[in-house]
Amino acid sequence: MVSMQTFYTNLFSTPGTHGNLSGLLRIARASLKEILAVRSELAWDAWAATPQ
Amino acid sequence: MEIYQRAIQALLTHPQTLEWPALAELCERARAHRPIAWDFSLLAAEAVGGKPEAAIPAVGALTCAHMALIMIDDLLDEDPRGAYHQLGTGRAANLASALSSLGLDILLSCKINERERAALALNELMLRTAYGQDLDIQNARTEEAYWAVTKAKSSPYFGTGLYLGALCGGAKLQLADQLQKFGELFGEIMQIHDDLNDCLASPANVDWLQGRSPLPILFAQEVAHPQQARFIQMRGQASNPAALAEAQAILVSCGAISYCVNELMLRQGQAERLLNRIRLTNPAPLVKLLADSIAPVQHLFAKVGADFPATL
Repeated sequence: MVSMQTFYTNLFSTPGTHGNLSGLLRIARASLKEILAVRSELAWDAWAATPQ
Repeated sequence: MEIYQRAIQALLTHPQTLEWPALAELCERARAHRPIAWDFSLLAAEAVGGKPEAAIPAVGALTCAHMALIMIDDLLDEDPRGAYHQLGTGRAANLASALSSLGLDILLSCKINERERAALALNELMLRTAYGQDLDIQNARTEEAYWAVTKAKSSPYFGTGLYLGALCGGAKLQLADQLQKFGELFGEIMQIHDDLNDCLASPANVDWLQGRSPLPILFAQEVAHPQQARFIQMRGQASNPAALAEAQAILVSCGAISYCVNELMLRQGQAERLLNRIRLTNPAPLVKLLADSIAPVQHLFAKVGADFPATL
């Protein structure tokens, strides 16, 4: 498993040169609005079952 | 009547539930809540070649465990949505204990050959998750601690859901064990999804307000990056919508969201390879489960104009 710090270093020091990292870098360059546009999909909330 | 409704009906007609209106009310409310995890036992039973009906005890037991865990989690988190607000703290804790035992009773009284192993697995789920919950509320702030909490708190639930479904579907123990490992890995995927969702919520949820460290926040706090100090400052003011929005924008730009997406993809690849090695009568339900879980990430790549990797 790559540490968080190593991931950060790889992500920003070698832009576009590593396969998966180029897509991940685009995510980091996206606006919050773009990320929030798919948030409802990311919300795979398996725990949302609180009996109210 | 569909499988889930039949599982709830089995809980409602248990002698103790018939005698205890508050317990019956909780089981009744469960009808309206159906998170995807409650289908796991059904998917596993079908994957090993069992009939859907075979999964009813597993679905009922997992539902009880889930409700108990959520009620306890809400107490630990002081979650404003928690049932304890209506019931009172002590009564909610007592009902959570009852639900836990009701799930065990459902398994011990079912007709499957491996019912004692099934009950042991459910008990192990409750024990491991309780440990994970306790670790979680201590707000450990290291990567190692985060993954230790996830493995203790989230993985057992998903692993046990598949394990119970497999046993109820007639699987041999070795096959049930393999599906449990697959489920535990899937539990890590679910935890990352959950963390992403919580961190991007607005207004700020309890993770922001109580100083918790879900994965994106942990990354932004602990990794050395130019916006680290600003993030920590804004995080402390997360009840202010403007500060929350700025902190969330930093989650994106510092690579925290990218890191979580990468961790999702790594586990997706591991889960796909693991599933390919398991000899299943009908792998389609679990293949679909994996496909559904990675679809949002694929959509995110498309949204930012990037190609999704061909292999994970």
